Amino acid sequence: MKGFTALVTIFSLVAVLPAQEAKNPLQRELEYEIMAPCCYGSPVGDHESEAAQQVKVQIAQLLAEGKTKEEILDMYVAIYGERILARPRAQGFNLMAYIVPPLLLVVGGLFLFYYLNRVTSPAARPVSANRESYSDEFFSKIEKEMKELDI
Amino acid sequence: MITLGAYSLQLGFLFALVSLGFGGWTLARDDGRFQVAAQRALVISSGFVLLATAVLVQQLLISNLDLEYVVRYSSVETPTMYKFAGLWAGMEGSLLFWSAILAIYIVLINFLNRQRNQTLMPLVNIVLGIILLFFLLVNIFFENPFTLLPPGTILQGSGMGLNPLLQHPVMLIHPPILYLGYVGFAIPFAFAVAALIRRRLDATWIRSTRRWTLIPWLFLGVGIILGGMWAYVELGWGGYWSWDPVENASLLPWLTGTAYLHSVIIQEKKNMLRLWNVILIMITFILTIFGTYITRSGIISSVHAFAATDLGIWFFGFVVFTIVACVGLILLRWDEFASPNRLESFTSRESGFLFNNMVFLALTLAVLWGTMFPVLSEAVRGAKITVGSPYFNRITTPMGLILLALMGIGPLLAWRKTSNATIKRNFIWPGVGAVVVLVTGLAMGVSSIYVVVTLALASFVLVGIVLELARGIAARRRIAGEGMLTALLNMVDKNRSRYGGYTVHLGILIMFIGFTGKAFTVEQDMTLREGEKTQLKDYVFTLQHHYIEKRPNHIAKVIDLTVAKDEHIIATLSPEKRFYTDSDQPNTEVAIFSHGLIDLYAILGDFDQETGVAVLKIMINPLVQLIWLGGIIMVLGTIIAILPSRADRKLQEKLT
Repeated sequence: MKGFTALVTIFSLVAVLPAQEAKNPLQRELEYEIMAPCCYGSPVGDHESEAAQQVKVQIAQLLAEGKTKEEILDMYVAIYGERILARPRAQGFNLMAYIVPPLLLVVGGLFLFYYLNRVTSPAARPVSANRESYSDEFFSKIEKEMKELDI
Repeated sequence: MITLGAYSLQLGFLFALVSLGFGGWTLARDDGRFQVAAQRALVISSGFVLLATAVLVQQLLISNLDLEYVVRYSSVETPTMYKFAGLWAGMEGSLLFWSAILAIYIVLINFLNRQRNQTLMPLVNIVLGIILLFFLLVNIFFENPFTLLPPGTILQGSGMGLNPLLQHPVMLIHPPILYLGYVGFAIPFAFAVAALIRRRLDATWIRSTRRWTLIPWLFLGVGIILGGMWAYVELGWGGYWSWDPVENASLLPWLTGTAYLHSVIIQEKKNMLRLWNVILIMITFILTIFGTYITRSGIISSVHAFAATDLGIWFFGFVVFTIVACVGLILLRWDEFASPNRLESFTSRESGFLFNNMVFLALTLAVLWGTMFPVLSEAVRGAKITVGSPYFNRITTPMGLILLALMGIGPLLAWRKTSNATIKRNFIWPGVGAVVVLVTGLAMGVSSIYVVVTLALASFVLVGIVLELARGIAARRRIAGEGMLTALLNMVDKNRSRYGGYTVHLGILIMFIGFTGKAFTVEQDMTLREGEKTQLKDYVFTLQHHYIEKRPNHIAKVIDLTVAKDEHIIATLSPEKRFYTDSDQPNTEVAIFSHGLIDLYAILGDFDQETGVAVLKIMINPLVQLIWLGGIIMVLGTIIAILPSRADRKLQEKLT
């Protein structure tokens, strides 16, 4: 139980550090949505180049002018093209980027569910595997004994 | 010496070719006369590759500026240990390094199997020979590290020096370890192909390669973590993983390799999933080559770079060749995959493993999809787009959490079928653990739902592991009357795979807790003059001094920043901005102080010598150290699983 206590302690540790930023949360969010226009290697929030610093300053100014997140992103796309966005917008062909991964998971899950259902159905089971005639209690006892013997 | 290196490389190529000739003859004619010759030729080829590598290292160490490679990736001023790192700094050297590691594996595997696996080894050597031949071919004809500078070239300076980013101690071990992982997957892959050809698809090849899979998996995992550590301490952006294509390329085979490590357990125990295991290890190997292709060909940064890079085409060709060969071989042996056993229940350990495999594969494909999507999008729409970390974090986090849940559920299920009573008995306390953390988290007002769910699942896994250990120890104490520690040690020794696996799980869950720290990162860009202070959370940062230091191959601008908490100075951070004189490149050296589980992280943008104004960024990063701690525990767990048990050692002694 010591480990569990440690986990809760860690929890308390992160919980007392409120998830609020020293800088405007929207500013920080935008800094991670816009790529550094010098190399397009990382978002401006993670980049220390002069170009990245300029963008950070511009974002602060635009926010101060009352521009919304979408307006600011639109402005950058108009100047640099879609490449400036750290992730593609979920529209048109780029919607595929967001649909395919969860689809893989769902299709994979359904397939596995179907497969397991098929192979574990009583009809698919060999006649000799007459497990149904034994009770859960019986299996539980065997499992317990096997565990005790560390098999 | 340069001539010796160049000839060694060519002789290595020649002997690999000879080995394949003999091996091919042995296979085609079913004639064993040349079997030994094939094996020896491959080992000799490996020897020449290692000699060529040693020559390149020696040339780097003496800074022979006649060699183009030395000029481009080293300099006379480069510190000696970083001259060594020049071996993997450029394309030519890193390809040779790849071949050298494969050569080491070839020599080792042939030595250790001199009396074992005699049916499979000739075929294993053919597969490894083909891989070695490919890399040597590329190395000799396209990216030769022994190319001399064109006559009459006038050098400015004494070499361009090693990229400053690579001049960090972690970079001395990160690439070799990563390569040991990448290349090592060639061994189980070669065994799988050999088992397919020889129609030996029972669990023998799996058992023969158990350690040969765990070792590259461990190296790849450690390599990835060290890469993260390097990014954290050297790149100066306060993070450890940016979903860069190069990082993704290393993660992909690790993910499928992890799925494979789980699914082989079913084949070992129940002789099932024969086809699936062959497919998984093939995918893992192909991903190691594919990773090299996508990172070395330039295809990710632009579709057009693909046509311009000869090397990309060769790697692409090799990937296609491997896929076609693997699919062909599987189809040829289709009737060999049937297993006498079958799955019996949904609620079984086997089903748990299958779901784990499915999610790992979906995660692999998702990361691959995101990595390749810019190429696809540009090909379809003609517009360049970026698929960066916000995308990957959004897509992979739910899948990672499902895996975390499965990591807790799987070990609680029994083989074949889990009775309702067992489900109740095994799940109740982990469930309580999860609910307690969930409720505590919500009550404490933790804003990120992902963080709360991660910690709740981590609690579920942890309670499960602790209970499993406690039950095992109690049983041993009751039956054998052993003390607590003896019971634990004997229990682990008796089933190293299982308890090594639990230890790895423990490491992973600690890493997951570490990942949640990102949600609580606090950062601030600022300008400070000498004597000025700023406060971030509970910490007060004061700029004490700024100065310039001239060092052997760089000039460093340094600031001393004291950190105080509750009016006590707890540390001095000295971040630097360096300018490397040999390579004409600037570089940032961050300063990190770990205060408990919280990292105080300072990055110096620059300072003005006259006005004394420093531009800097300070971050407070909680829990990052748990990621490194989890990594260490993961390594320990894998070592537990790799080392032979006492019973194995006794058996080995008797046999010898």
